[in-house]
Amino acid sequence: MVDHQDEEYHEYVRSALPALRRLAYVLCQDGHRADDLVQGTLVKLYLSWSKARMADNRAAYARTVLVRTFLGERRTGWARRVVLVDRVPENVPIPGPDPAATLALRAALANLPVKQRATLVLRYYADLSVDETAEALGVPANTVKSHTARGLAALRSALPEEAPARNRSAR
Amino acid sequence: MNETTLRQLLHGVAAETPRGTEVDSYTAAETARQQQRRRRQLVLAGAAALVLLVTTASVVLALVTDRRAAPVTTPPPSAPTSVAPTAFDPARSWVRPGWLPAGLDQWELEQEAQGARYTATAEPGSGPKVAVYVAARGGRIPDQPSDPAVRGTDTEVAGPLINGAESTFRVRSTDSVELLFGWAPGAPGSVDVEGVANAKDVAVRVAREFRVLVGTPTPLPFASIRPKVPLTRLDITHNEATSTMRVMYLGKNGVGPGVEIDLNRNGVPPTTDRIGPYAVAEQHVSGGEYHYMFQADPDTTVQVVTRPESTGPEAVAPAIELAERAIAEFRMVGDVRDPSSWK
Repeated sequence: MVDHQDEEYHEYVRSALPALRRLAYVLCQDGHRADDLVQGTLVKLYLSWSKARMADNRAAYARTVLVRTFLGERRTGWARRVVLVDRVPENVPIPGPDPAATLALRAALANLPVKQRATLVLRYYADLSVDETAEALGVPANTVKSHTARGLAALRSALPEEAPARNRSAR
Repeated sequence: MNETTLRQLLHGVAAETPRGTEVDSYTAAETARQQQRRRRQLVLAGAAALVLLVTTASVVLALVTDRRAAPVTTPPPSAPTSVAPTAFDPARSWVRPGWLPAGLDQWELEQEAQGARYTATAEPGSGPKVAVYVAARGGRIPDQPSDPAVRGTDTEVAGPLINGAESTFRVRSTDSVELLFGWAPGAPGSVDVEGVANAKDVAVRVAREFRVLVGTPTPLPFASIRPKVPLTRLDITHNEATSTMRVMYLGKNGVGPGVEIDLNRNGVPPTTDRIGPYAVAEQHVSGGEYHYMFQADPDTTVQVVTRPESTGPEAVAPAIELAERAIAEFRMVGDVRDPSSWK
């Protein structure tokens, strides 16, 4: 890569990194794995920067790379996905409006198949349309719709009460 | 759970993203570069392995095929192997000695349709000399330039078998002899040796090792008209002490316009025209003869001369056109003073 493109790449990563990290964290729900996912995404982004820099929407391009890297990693073997560490993970403080509901959602999300999880995250966290989600995942729009419906159904069965929302609205 | 709740909860999860991170774009870039290098090395290693595999397979296949093949009957070593052309064309043939006595490193090559003469001397005009003439198929050896009075005293004796055919010596003295032989079926040749000890032995060795490469163009230090036009005549004089001169004629087998290209003239008069990439000095000499001179490179001057079929205007115009085409397409491909650089 020529120098000015190199500099352009680093500049873009500086601006896009927070959003990419948040998306990765919502997908992985683990800070270390999210960082690994983002780092892997940045490597791929660098390798295809000449194409990425010409994209109409660089953010969408980077998001697609990240989501597909996430799905690709989930398809690889256990050894690639599991990182052994020499300490017990610390309890992460849970900020936010409803810590109990957030914890329950995290548990429910973790039990979803990865494609359903990615679909819900893109649709309801990244606020993408069905078509945009389909493009990011590389699947037809109908598949996005079915993943969305099944994922929501699974979450509803795992979190039958809409307590968090009601609680917040009651406050 | 409705969609709004899900959105709120997901944003709540995103808000938990740890602040500190080891993600670094420079580390990612370095990792990417390493991956690129590894991929390139893998591709190269793969290509090398493939080449090795194919080579090994070819060698093994060749060995197996050789073992299975019927034994090849080799012709007797004295059988003639060359096929002479009916006319020489320097663009399609190359004559050169395979061996010459030491010291004969100045040479001339004259090649035309009837045959080719290669003359090697130690110094121009005097001293030891070896001249080889090979005629086209069905041709004959032209009269030697030596004094007819001297030639009348020649003694003819039988020579050894050369290329499977009989040969004849014309002996003038112990160090001066002419050997007549057939260099290919139906194609006579001669080796004239003067002022060299053991002239007969030298003549036989020169004759046996002389090479006529049919189908291989004579190497030249320049390229010109493309597609190539038959060369009806080619004269080269190579002399290290002065310089190399080359004259050649291009034409359609002697029919139609011709052009003469002469390399290594000294100096170019003031130029008056531009043809192709060259500033050219043009001069009308007489009739249909025009001379064009230009500097092909710092060491080489070129003179191009029109050779029309006749002096009539209808014949001169095509000759001028051919000459100007020869200049426009002319380019040096070697050093005129170094025959090993010619192509």
